[in-house]
Amino acid sequence: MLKRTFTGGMPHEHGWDRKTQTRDSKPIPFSPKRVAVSMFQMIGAEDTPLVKVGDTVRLGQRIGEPAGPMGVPVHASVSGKVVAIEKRLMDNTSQALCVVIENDGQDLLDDSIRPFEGERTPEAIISVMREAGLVGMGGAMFPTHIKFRTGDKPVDYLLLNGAECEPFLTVDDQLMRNHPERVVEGAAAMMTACGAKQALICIEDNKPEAIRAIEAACAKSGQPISAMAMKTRYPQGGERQLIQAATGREVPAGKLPLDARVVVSNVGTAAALAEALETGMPLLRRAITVSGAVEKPQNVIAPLGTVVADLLEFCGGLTQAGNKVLLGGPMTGCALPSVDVPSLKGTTGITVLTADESEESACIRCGACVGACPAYLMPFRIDEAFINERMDVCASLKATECIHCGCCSYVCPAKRHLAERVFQARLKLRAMK
Amino acid sequence: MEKNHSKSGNRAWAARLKTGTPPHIRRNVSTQQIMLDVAIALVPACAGAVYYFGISALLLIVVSVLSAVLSEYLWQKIARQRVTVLDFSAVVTGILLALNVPATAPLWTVAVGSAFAILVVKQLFGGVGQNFINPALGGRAFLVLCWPALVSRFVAPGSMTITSVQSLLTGTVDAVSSATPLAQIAQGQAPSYLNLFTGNIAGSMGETSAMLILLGAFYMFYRGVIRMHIPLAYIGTVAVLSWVFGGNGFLTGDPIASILSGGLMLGAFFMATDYATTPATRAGQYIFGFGAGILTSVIRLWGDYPEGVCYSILIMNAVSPLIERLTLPRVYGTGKKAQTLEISMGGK
Repeated sequence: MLKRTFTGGMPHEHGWDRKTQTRDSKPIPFSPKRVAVSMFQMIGAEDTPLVKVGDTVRLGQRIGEPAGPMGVPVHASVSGKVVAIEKRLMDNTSQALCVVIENDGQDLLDDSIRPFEGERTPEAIISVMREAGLVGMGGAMFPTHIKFRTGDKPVDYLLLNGAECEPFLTVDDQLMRNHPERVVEGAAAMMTACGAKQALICIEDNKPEAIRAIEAACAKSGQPISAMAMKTRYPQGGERQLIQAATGREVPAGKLPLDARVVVSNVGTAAALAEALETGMPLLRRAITVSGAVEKPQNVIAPLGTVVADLLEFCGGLTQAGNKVLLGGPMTGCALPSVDVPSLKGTTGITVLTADESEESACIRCGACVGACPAYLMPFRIDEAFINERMDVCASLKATECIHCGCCSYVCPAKRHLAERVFQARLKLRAMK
Repeated sequence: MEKNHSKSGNRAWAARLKTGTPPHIRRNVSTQQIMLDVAIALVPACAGAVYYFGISALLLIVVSVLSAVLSEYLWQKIARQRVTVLDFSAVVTGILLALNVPATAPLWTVAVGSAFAILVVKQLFGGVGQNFINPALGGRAFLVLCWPALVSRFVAPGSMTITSVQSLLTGTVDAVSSATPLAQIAQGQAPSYLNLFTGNIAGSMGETSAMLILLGAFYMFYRGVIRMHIPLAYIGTVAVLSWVFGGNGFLTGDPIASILSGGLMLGAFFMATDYATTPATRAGQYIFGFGAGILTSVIRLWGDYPEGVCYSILIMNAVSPLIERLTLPRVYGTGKKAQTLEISMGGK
């Protein structure tokens, strides 16, 4: 049977996905001495801390109150004492307030943690999503309760994103192999929340064990949930490409998946929902793939707010070759100027690379970028227009549809920073509207 | 309140972090590698030129390449631009220009032709990737315009005997001028398919051996340097049109002889595939190949020139930006497909 896929994307040379380092690394728990839990919210203002310096906190205790209905609460990811509340660097540009907790190593559970025992109505599940602090764990960190509040809009498909198309990352693969039933339970709850008629758990075919495990769990569940194997190609995990490959539908430009009657969520988020319903535990720890130029690459389960430096040290530190630390994967990750950055709910990996310092040269109009773009754009022309400050040309070339996957820069023989400029054109055009 | 409890000072590696925008990995490909692959793909044709036409072929190729590289180097130095001769694009232009002239051309003609190709067609318009027509063909068209006789004395293989350096420089060689296959076909006497395929025919230095050109073409395809859309559309169109109109009466033409003759093979695989002067869209590439095929056939069949490849490609080069503009791909989420979806989904 022909496996589902989309058009465009990265050409695959041997060893391109770089997942062999951590492919079979079952995530092991790590307990840092200290965590810096961030109050940062993707949408809207930061959470307000509910504790002050000197307070003792317990595992799962609510320590951040959302500013508005769009935000989610933040919980203590370790038990211990609050030693500081301060601004910390989050990535390469922004800062956010963090509650720094000295870990007492005891993991004393807060009394508020209780399994969900009510009737699983859509509203109840959406409420759990919010109270458990769920956000998109694939990296985007979009508030889950907002996404699933679909109202009257019909939903034909719930798609669970198990593609994990970024090179190096293997946490979703491990999750599906080790806890497939959790993913399926989460899918069932999510289906109730948004009223989806069926759920498809989409997995790239470079993860055959995960596909088998999920298929078995789906069969057991007796629900309209099934695994769907996709052809492995970056960026299959991009929301729009996933929808296109799995359902044949295209999300209209400027619209949301819901407008195509689809809701997409990461497998990790689904598993977190299942855990929140079953045990009452909010989202406060997650698996992270630490790989690349580190001495001991592996998957680690770390409490939220674990500082990157501590994780790197736990994995033996950088090798001689490593001089670039990324939050996330190499295609879309952010290069950190400092390793004192805390992990967030959407931190999927810490990837260490040797920086590629090839210089940009002139565009030879080879068109490799055109073939690679999954949004069917012409990156080299948008690049030229952006450099010449022709935003009108950028608009007519639909730079607004760039998904920032990085494929164009990846394939460019002249090493041009196409992805950067096309995305900047997109940002500028959206701001101009 | 502790401020700096990060301990990063203990970790030497924390100090050497590099930043940059994503993506942070790149494919193992470069402009230089691509150009080098094209040059390698031309080696069979160059070797064939030397085999069939003697040492003067080698000298012409060398002089052409030197002239191209030197022209580019001097221009970039004088204009205070970054010197990019090491990307080998000038080398490729030099080789292609030499292969487009007969082995009887005086050495200075390829030097001038290459200089024109690099300075006027390429650098004057913005350098690599900005040329408006194919540089090698532009150079050749310039030579044909200025010194038509000197660059059209085609000879049969094996008939070149250079007896003195002087004759090399002036281009007065003792070889007997010979009719090219296209001229022969026009007279109704086509050479054998074997000769046409291996190159044992008269013609410019690089166009004669379809076999050696195909060898190079397959290498480039294997390396991902060219795609076959333009060459196949081009050659296919010429084959069909020559079959339909090329003989005495309808559908009596010889398509095989037609595509193996003249500069079609060399043009289709090495010059009609130049990145800068052909559309970057798939549909545009088919149109380009199709258009070049029609023009070549029209010139061959009903024009006075025996060969039309050079001008066909140049004309299609000029139209290429327009073709590209008219064949822009439908962006994901736009166009009919998205509209139908909106209608069926209840219109949002």
